[in-house]
Amino acid sequence: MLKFKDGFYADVRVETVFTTSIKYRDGALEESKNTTVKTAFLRVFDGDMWYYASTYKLGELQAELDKLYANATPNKDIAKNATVRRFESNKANIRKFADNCVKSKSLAEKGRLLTEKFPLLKSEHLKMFVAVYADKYSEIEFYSSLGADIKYDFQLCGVRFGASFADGDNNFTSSLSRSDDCLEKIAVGDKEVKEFIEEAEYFLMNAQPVTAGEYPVILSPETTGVFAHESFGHKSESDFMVGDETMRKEWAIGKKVGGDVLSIYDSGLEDGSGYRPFDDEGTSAKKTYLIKNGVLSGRLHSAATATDLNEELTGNARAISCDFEPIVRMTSTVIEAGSLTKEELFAGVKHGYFIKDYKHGSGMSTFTIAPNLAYEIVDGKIGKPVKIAVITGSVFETLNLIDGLSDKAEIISSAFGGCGKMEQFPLNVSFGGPYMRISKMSVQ
Amino acid sequence: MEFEKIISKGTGYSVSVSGGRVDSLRINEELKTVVRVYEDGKIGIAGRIGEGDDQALFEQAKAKLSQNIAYPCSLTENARREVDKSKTIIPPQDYVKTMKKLITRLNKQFPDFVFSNKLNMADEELIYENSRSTRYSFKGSRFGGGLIIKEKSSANIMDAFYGADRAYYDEDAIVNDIGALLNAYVKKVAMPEGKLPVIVGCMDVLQHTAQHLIAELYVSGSSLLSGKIGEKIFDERVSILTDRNAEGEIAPFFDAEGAVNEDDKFYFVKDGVLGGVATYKRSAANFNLPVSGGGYAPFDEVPQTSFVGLRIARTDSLDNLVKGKAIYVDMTSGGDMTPDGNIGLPVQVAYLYDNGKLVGRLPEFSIGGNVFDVLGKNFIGVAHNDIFEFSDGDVLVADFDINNAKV
Repeated sequence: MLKFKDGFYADVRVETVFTTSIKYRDGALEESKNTTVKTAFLRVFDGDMWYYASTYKLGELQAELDKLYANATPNKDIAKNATVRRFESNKANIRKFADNCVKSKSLAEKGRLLTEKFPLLKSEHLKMFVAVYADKYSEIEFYSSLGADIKYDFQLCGVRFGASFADGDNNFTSSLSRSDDCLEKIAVGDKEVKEFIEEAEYFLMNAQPVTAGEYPVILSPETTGVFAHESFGHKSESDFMVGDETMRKEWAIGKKVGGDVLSIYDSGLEDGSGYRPFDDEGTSAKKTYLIKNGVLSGRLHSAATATDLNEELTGNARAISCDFEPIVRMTSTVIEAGSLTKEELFAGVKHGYFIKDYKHGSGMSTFTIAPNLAYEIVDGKIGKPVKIAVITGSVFETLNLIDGLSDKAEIISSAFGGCGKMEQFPLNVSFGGPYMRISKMSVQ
Repeated sequence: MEFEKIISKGTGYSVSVSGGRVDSLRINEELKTVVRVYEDGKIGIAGRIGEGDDQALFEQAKAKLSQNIAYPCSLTENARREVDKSKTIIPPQDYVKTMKKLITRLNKQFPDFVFSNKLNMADEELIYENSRSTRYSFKGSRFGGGLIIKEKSSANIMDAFYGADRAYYDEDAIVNDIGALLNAYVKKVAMPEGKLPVIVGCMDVLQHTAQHLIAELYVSGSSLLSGKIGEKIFDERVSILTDRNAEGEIAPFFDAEGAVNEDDKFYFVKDGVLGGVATYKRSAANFNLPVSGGGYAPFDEVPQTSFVGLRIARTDSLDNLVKGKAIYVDMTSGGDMTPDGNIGLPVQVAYLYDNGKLVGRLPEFSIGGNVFDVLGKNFIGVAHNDIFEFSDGDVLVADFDINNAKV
């Protein structure tokens, strides 16, 4: 039992992480392992400075905590500190995955999700494939000097089939993946694998370069999700606004920032890779509208940023592991569905491009998405495949250029990679949305 | 049964800067031990965080042999080398005070900007031992991190960035560097008419090319460079290599498998000719290729390929490469390369360069070009970035296409 000292705020996060990694290259096993790591992260706040320690010495947590206390300055009014007063002191024990835990499944069972598909991973131009299974089961404990006592678990698993194709000097690499929160949900069907190979072969043999310029673009639900995350999600992380009057004025709640069709929310309550019932400061997850009907409605907070901006906690203080302190991060970021059918959405484009999936995205003032599979749209119909290096746009301008959303949103989880913010990568997040039409984007 | 043991130790000190104020100190301690055993063409690996019983770790690694992961056993014999580049950069007890002094000075000198993010100091030690009497060790110390710089009147989340990773600390040099950046930042200039050479970080181009140098992709025939070993692919002044002992590099001279290259260098491209691809011991054995020293193994994972110290060899000084004006690309975001080698790099921040100095901030644009042209007919050279003193790195000078330039 940890002894918290008077005159300080303190909290301790302990995380036990079980992971599995299985990898085959061209059918040969390259990796097969389970690992369990248990570490802790401690924080002490004296009202002026935070003192953090990351440690693997779990038997010496009190001593580690006492070292932090020794660096800090006692503050008899710490309980009145505006940040400390915002902290929630939740008590909970949520074991959502205890009865269907990936820890209880064998490496053989997990590996079969890959090996059963190997006979299908062949074609005239398929030169190499890499099949990967990954899972993670975390048990998180959180205790604070305010009495928080939280235990919960998190689970994520996924399969990915990456394949490289070539025809002479012409080459193309693509992947098929599925991630979710239990093994039963990630099996990939034979038909999907066959279609994946056929589409990649078609792309290899027929994709044409594009002429750089500005064009109407339609994004798939997956790409809409990465757009939501990169273009506006990062803008909504309010640590960028601390001590910044211009940002506060420019991003005042109630300001019109996009078309009426646009609503974006972030929530740690959605199932999948963005699920996080409590953040790493012990705040319970909440659904936060960032934009509602085109109007700026909220932003994402840690206790410190909520205090600085005098807003409510949102449950978005997160760390990628016990090596790091929590900072403001997204969870599951989603653009809500609109009212058009997919066909109506495409019918509105005379000449533009459809971005089916992507390799990576990034976002600052200008956001960037590197497409993988992309197609020309001619007179509302999907045409020939095209090679696009990047699509880019100004966040401010592009939000106002969204002129149509399809009527069904999908949320995409991923057990591979995640969100990066400065030194902390990868963080498990999810994102999604409907098919989305943007009247003008830079295509290169 | 043969074995390898790898121990990594370290202590890190990291302050957060938020809204122009140092508001936290984080101390990270690391101690990891990994054992790999080899028997009958198989590998078994076990890892431990913290102190513990090495014999138990060996037994765990032996048990993992049953996973039947094929791996060649190719251990270096009777080699000893120790490199100690560690030193006290800033006494740990003075770290917060020193960083507060730096930030206070930046706030005072550049009152129109807000500084945030991380400043880090770390001591690292890596030891590699194997059952064939080889022992390598490396100790290093570094100071670095990055400052996000935001103009107070701007609604952007980030207007400029200053990053460094050095084996020493020099407050004056950091302040002077940031001054060189921000003095140019505040002077908006129009995109010049006519073609100018572009100065861009070497990694902005290399990061997209590197994956095509990976042995597995190369041998499969699906790399942009497949089948071209021995062929001249770039300008004859272009040499691409990894150099673990280059000036300013703070990295062990050995890779995760104890592989060491002659002169700590491995050339992928020499004088424009493709000479080798990136391998680690398994891929080198599978494809009968030389080991490039790219073995990388996070904690208890089976090694795979990586690039440490990847660079394009310098050809001249920046002053000699660029006489007069050029476009200096300071910050790109999320660029990529199409399968046929067309690179697209969205530029977040760029400056007009004139005779060794940054003289004004350019509007946003993108640069593009085919990698065989950028490193071929459009290649001008590679130089140390002499614009900055503390922030280190090499820059590529080449002709690129400028797209979507705003006036």
